[in-house]
Amino acid sequence: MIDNPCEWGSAALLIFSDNVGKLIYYTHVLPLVISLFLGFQVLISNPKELANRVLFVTTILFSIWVYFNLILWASPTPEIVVFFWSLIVPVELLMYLAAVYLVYLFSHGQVDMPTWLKICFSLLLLPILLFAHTSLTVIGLSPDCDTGAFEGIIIQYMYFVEVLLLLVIAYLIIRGFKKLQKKTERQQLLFIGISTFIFLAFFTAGNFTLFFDLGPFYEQYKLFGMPVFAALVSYSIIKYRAFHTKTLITEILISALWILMFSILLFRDMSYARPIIFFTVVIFGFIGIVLSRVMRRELEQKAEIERLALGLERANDRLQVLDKQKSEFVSIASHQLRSPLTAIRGYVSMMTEGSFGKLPDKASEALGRIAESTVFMASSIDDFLEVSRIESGNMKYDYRDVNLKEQAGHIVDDLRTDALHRGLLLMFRSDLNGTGLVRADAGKTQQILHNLINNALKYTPKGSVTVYAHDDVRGKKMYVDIIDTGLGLSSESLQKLFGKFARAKVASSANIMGTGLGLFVAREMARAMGGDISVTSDGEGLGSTFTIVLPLI
Amino acid sequence: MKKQKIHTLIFYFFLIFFILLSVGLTYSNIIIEKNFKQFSADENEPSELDFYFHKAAI
Repeated sequence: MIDNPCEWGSAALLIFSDNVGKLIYYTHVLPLVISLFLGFQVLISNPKELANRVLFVTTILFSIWVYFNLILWASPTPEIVVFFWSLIVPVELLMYLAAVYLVYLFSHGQVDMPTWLKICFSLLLLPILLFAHTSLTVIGLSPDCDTGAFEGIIIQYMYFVEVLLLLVIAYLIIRGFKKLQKKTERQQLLFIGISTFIFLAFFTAGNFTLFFDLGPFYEQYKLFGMPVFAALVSYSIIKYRAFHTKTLITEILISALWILMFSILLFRDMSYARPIIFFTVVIFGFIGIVLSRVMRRELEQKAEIERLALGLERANDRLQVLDKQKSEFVSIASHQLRSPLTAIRGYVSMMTEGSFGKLPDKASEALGRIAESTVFMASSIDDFLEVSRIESGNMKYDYRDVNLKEQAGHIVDDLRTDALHRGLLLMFRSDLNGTGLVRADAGKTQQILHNLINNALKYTPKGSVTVYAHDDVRGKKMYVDIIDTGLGLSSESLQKLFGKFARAKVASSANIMGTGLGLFVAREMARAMGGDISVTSDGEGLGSTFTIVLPLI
Repeated sequence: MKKQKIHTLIFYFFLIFFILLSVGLTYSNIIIEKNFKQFSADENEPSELDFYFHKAAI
């Protein structure tokens, strides 16, 4: 039995003793708290990530080391001192190995270390584990009461392995920096790798102060690597999203407040308020956890929305490309159809005019139908080409001063015969206060007016079609209304009428041919020239009014 | 993947086993058996262990 050679009092929790100077607590407790704080924060933030778990283990091993070291300082019992002296050695090397593992993960894009490599690294630990209890590790206790010990060959071996592992970390940083493709991964590695290297380099340097017998003062610096490590890791978390933590700032704030309240609880002078503070600590802890979870859930939802939005954006881009390809296809196909159609129309015309001799009546009738169909087909192809030009942005406009009233009057005159054939009354009226001049492409305005008046004639089985030109000089607008007493439009048809391939329900039932592109083309052209086309109808069978509006000069 | 998981489990099992073994042996040898030396504080008696002497903890 070895008696207590010192006259110290017993140490509370093995570490609180009057023998230990305040400096020692300062150098130990601060890194211990920072280490535990960092480890738990990272683990709680994302426990599924391997790197987070490894960092947690590293900080826990560091904390155990610090606790053991405080025991060595504070404990007056020789066997306790020697016991923890023996165990602090494997803890220290385990911490180095965990740190190497951490840097390995960041240098290999978070890919886990193969088991064979883990075994190789662990074999370095094996002699320490096997001989920790022998005098090869700790030979014996120092003669004076400063808790020092005589180090055996195993501790010298540990110093050697630590230097080796530092070199491994340096190698992993350089290798990872060269091989990693993503810039963010390289930056994360740089911060985590260098901070780990600094953390362990402080430690190793502290050990060498012992080796060269520089005294306990310099040795205390070995623990200051941890705050540097924690600061750099925290920076990399915030700046480069290392460890995939999302609510770190909130959690830091909550934890800091919690620790503050908890520390108030420990003050002796506060005994009268202790129950209230204790209650507050518990409630705040609970609220803090709930708050943290709610915030994390919200962030996850936000990330999900961002992911979906990105997917939609990509899908939209893809659709635009496909739409462009479709327009190009329609354009090419329409051009290819137009050439043979011209030949067909030419030959049909020559045949009906008797250029190839007189034809039987039935053949003439058939040719007449072919001619009608080719006219419709040519019109359809023109519509397709117009749509294709509009969508690809290749529609050209030749702007001139156009008298819209006169143009509408001429078109009405041209179509009057056709209207009479249909048994319809086609009228033109005007009520202008100004010149009626608009700045537009004359060909396009003619096309629009012709299309709308022709449509009115087609969709009016009986009654009249009135073209009414009027202006609003103050508002600088020129209007042409095409008012018919025809089939009219339902409110449902009104909404869809200007869409591509949109045809009114009545068109199908009245067996009126059309592609459903004419109004789309007309409105796009009017809009391109700074105007618009609108339609109103009181309902099916009650006629409709189409209005073209263009800006007056 | 499953094979690698089993390898990892075996590895950690042995690692923890050796750590516990080490702790157990140290506890038995140091705490129970008290099998360690306590050197004399006689300063006039230089020892070959002086080289290893350290003022404080690791």
